[in-house]
Parts: sequence; structure tokens; C-alpha cells
Amino acid sequence: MTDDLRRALADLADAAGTGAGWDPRAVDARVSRLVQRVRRRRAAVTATASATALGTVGVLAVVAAALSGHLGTTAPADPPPATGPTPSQPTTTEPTAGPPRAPAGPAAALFACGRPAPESIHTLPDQGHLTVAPDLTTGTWDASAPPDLAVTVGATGGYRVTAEVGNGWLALVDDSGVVVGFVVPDDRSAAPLALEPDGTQELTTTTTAAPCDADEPLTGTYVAWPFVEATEVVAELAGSSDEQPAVAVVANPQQVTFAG
Amino acid sequence: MQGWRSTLDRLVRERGRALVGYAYLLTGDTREAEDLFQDALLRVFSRGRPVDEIDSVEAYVRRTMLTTAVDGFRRRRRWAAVRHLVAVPETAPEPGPDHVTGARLAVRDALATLSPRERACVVLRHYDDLPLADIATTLDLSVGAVKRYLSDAHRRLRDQLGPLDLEPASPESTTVHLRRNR
Repeated sequence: MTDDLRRALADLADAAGTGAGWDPRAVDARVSRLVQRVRRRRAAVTATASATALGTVGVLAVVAAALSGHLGTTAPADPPPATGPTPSQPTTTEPTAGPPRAPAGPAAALFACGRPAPESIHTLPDQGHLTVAPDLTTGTWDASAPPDLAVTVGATGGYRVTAEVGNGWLALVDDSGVVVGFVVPDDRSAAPLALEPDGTQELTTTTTAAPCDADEPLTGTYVAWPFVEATEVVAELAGSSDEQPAVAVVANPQQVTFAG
Repeated sequence: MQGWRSTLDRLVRERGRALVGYAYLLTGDTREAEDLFQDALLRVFSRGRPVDEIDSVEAYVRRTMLTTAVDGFRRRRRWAAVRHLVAVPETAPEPGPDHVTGARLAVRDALATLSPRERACVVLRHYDDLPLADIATTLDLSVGAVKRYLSDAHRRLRDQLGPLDLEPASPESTTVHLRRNR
């Protein structure tokens, strides 16, 4: 064989490159899969970096406490600055330090950065005889200062429900069906609610918009899944009770638009 | 669409075929070429570095594929040997007779006799048309090592394919040789 090796290699590469899956639909699917995988990996890298940073802060706090003579005593550390509870919503859970990018409670199984969102509200699990209805501000939102988020939590099916319920979140899903960010409640404390049958309670909080990928700011229109997380849920009806340690209560998705 | 996502989209649509073909030269297997291509994209786009300029990103992806093909070859082969035991079958078509036939098969089989480093050197020298010094830099080898890999590769390719129209020596190699003798 006296063919020039360069031409032979180019011919082989060309043949291999045209061999599989390059029609437009296949390329769309290929790109979509790659985008999801990259998003997951970038989100994981971001989460690892955040965890490392928090770990560093924790170590520094311990060192600082030791240097100031507090280590091993019962003296409490200074509380982190946080939005206090409203009089009607006494706090029973300490606020989480720092703004998380994603929920850490029962909703984490439904909404996680880089993961596909539920296909519809009907595919979601039981919500502990609770409902949530958001009251979203209309118009275009500013990602650097999103509007307050008000949600109304209610008891359904004639049940009387008690639970520890947190403020509302929004999981933001892009046009490829993947979670790309959250609107995070600034006050992540949980309030004890006691809801009579068909009773409701409104919860309102200021919020922060948190993209999963810091390099990909939130701009444009997203499908927003409103949800709250509830723990110690006890639903009573006609002398019987249904208890669940933790549930995510999700509302029908709506569209929200962030300014570019 | 914005930032890395836009660049990734363009890269796959406009350069994807060429990059998979390049990966095929390095692996000799369609499935491994696809894996190598996608692994390289994941590595490049997950690192958070700027990925706006498509030409530089393509070059970086090629380099990542080269490095992975050379350094990760044994790992990949071991994984390929057991992949069917733990993974669901993929639907990507195997290279069929329509795509790799005749003389192409002969070239593919000849390349398969080369070690990963020899193969990478051949691709960089005869497909990318790089001088020896650049090949050495790309693969983090000495120029002498590159010459040795190419010499061994040429001998094997000739054994498989017959006489090849190859340059016996390049100006770069002569220069290096003279310097070493001083």
C-alpha cells in the first residue's frame, strides 16, 4: 500500500465521523444529554466547593472559639444574622447558615440541580393531606432582587393537620426540563401550623435567586415549581391519624421571567 | 442560550463529526471514540474556565482526547471488558461495512497494532501535521522519545500495509540529534 498515510488517516476519520447519529434529531438529543451531564458535574463541583468553604468556616469557628476560651464551655456562639420570625410564626428550627442553592429536606428528592424536574404534578407522591398555593408577583423579575414569595398552605380532604412548615421555594426549570436554579426563602425556619379541615395559612418571606451554576445567571423564562417542606406532619380524620415525618408539598408549576 | 451551553451546542453541531473521527483514530473503536469525545467535552466544560471561543475549545477538546487516550487507555480497556456486565446495552450503531471498509479496515487494523503513545504520535504527525517538537510538547515527551515511537510505529505500519510514502527523517529530528552529539 503506497497511499499517503495522511490521506488514509483523514479518510478513516471522515468515515468514522459520519458513521453514527448525526441527523438533526440525534444531534439535538446528544446536545441535550451533554448539557445535562455538564450541568450535573458543574453543580457537583460547585456543591463540593461550597461544602469545602463551609467546612473551612466551621474549622475557623472552632479555632476562634478555642482561642477565645469558649471551647468546652456551654457558652453559645453568636447566632448568625437571620430574618426573625413574625409574631404569628414562631420559630422552632434554627435557620440554616448561609444561602443554600438547593433544598436539603424532602424536596431534595424531587428538585436537584442538573436533574430533570417532575413531568407533572400528578407524578408526585402523597403530600400529607397538605396543599400549597403560591401568589407569584407578575411581570419580569430582577434576579438580584426577586420579589417576596407568598404561599398559602392548606389542609385537604377534611383532615385536621398539624406540621412544621417552612417558607415557600421555587425550583426553576429550563426549556430542557432540567433544574437550573432556585428562588430560595431568606427565612428558612419552620413554623408550627395547626390547620382545621379546609383551613389555610399564608407564609411570606423575602427571597434570593440562586442559579445552580454561578457562571450561568438566571435570565429569561423558566418553569417554576412552587413548594414548601413540611415535617412532623400529623393528619387526623374521624379518630384516625396519618403521620409522616417529612413531605414536600408542591403546587402546579407556573412561568416566571427574569430580566436579562 | 448563553455561555458554555451555546459553545457546547455549536461545538457538537459544527465540529462533532470531525472530533469523533479524530477520537476514532486514537481508539479504533466507534463506541470508545464516542466515549472519548463525550468524556473530553465533560472535562473541558465542567472545569468552569472560559469556553467562549469555539476554535480554542475545539483545540482543548482534541488535546484532552489525546491525553485521555494515552493515559487512560488501559483503564478504558479494562472497563470495556466488564462494561457489558454492569451497563445496559447502548444503542449507538457499531461501525458497519458502509463506513469502514476495504482499505480503511486495513488502516484501522494496522493502527490497532500500535501502542497508545505510538498511535498518538502517528495521528499528531501524519494527521495534524505537527513537527516533532510540538508532538513532544503535546504528549509531554522528549523529542527523542517521539522519534522512537514514530520509528517503531512506521515499522509496524509498513509490516501491515506495505511500503508507505513517509518522510524518513525530519529537519527537527536532525537538529536535535546534532545538538545531543555536541
